[in-house]
Amino acid sequence: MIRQGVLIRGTNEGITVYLHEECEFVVILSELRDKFTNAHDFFRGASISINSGERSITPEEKMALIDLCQDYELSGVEFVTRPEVQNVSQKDPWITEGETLILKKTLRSGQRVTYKGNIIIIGDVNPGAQVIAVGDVAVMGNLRGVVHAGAQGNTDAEVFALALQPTQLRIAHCIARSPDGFSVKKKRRMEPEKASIKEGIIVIEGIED
Amino acid sequence: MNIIKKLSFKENSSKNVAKERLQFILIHDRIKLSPRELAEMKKDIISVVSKYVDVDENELEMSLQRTESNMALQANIPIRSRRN
Amino acid sequence: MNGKVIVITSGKGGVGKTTATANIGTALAMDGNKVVLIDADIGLRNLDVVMGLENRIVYDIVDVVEEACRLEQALIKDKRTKNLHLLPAAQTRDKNAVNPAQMRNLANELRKEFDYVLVDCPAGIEQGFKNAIAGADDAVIITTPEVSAVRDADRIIGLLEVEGLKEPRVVVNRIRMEMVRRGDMMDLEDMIEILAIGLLGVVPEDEDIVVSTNRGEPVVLDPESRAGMAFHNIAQRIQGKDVPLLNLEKEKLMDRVKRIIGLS
Repeated sequence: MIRQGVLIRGTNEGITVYLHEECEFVVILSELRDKFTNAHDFFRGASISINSGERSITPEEKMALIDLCQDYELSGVEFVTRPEVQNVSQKDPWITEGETLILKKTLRSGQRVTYKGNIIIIGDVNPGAQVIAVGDVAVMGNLRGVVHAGAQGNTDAEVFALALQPTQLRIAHCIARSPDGFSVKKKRRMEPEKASIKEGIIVIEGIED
Repeated sequence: MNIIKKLSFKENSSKNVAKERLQFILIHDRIKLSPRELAEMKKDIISVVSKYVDVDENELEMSLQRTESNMALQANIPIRSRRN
Repeated sequence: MNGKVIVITSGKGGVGKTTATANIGTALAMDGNKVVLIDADIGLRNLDVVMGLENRIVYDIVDVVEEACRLEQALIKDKRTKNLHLLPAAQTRDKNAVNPAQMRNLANELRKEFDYVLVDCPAGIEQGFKNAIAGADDAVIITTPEVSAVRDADRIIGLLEVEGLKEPRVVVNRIRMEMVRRGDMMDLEDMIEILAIGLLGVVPEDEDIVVSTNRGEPVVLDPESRAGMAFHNIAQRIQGKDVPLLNLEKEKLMDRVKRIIGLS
């Protein structure tokens, strides 16, 4: 019987939750729920990183953890898994399991998310907010702030958004900015678009269903 | 009604209210006197001065004058008449 | 070159500091000066938006003081006016990201290259204010004809004195002559008497300001605007020229008729 399925540490980077590699997932989930319950105020609004160490977690388990964090009003969850997973080629399909930060919130002016992998935001990115990823960025919402994909120079990185209207869009060392002038764009319906580098410049194209 | 109000009550215009309030607030801010102490001081000044002259209590005006190096408290006390 | 560093401050928020900085800076550049605007409102930057330059920002003031980039890299050229540059604030940091010594260095670095360095100060009297005034030679205080704004301006004058900025000048913003005439707004004389400092200019309330801020174009670019003219005059006085105050009494014919027959 393992007594501690989860271990919570505060570091300079924030709060990290370590998952025991052999403990059963249901035990981990209930221990984490207890910890969240006991220190609800502490965790509310916090962004944590979940380190699963040598343990492999299934997509269902991941969703369960995300749901739990949402129930307790955390603002973000980051998953850190086995180190070798982080070294997958940047050419792989862009939502790479294990090195993707999933954030379910609206990023407001002054907020900034950086991550060494890919970032998925389920919500809007408002003007004045920044999203910076070493890999790709996907926004399931309106992207109006500043976004930088391939922040360490990966020119294959891409930016995807349900509505792509960034103040400024950077991929690797390329910068594209929104057109000057006063324009209130009101799109009647969301038109998913994708930005990538083609022949040295940033190109934005629609995505067929 | 509106027109009459405007013609007759120039002295009570909101501008004058603003100016007066501001002068009091600034006295307080600059010399750290609370509004109550200020009111007491005003009362004391009036009681001293009215020993000698008949003053119009409601017309007393106080303000702070800032010069380069210091501040001066100015009290403007309209006199009704000289006491005999 | 030994340019002048001028901080634009107010104490109270919302009186038009940022608009004034953008417009005075643009007017100075239109007069042929080399001008740089520093947004010192770290964490709540806005000068970029008023200037319509928000989509050009790559580096900001915090990157410069932390030496993440060179100063020249962070300076954004204005898109309309020659010789005008912006050093944007950081949006994702807080006021403590820059300290007064760094600000002083920055100001001294910039005065070598520019005729005028205008610093847009954050509202309040805390760290952000102390940083913003650190390198300044002169201060311009923006206020409006309201009790709260004048009171805060008075507080700021006192604090500036302590920091050695002995002769700040005031800009009275958003004055509404029709209200002054009705006796429902303090006039210039009232305010100057109370604050006892020099008047740098007076700017009428002007709907053009809202429109120009929407567009991200300083109102001084609009030759028809009354507020724009007022800011041009202020820029002239900063350059040491003697320009009479804008005649705010000029009123529309209809207003005049209304006033004479007692309707307004």
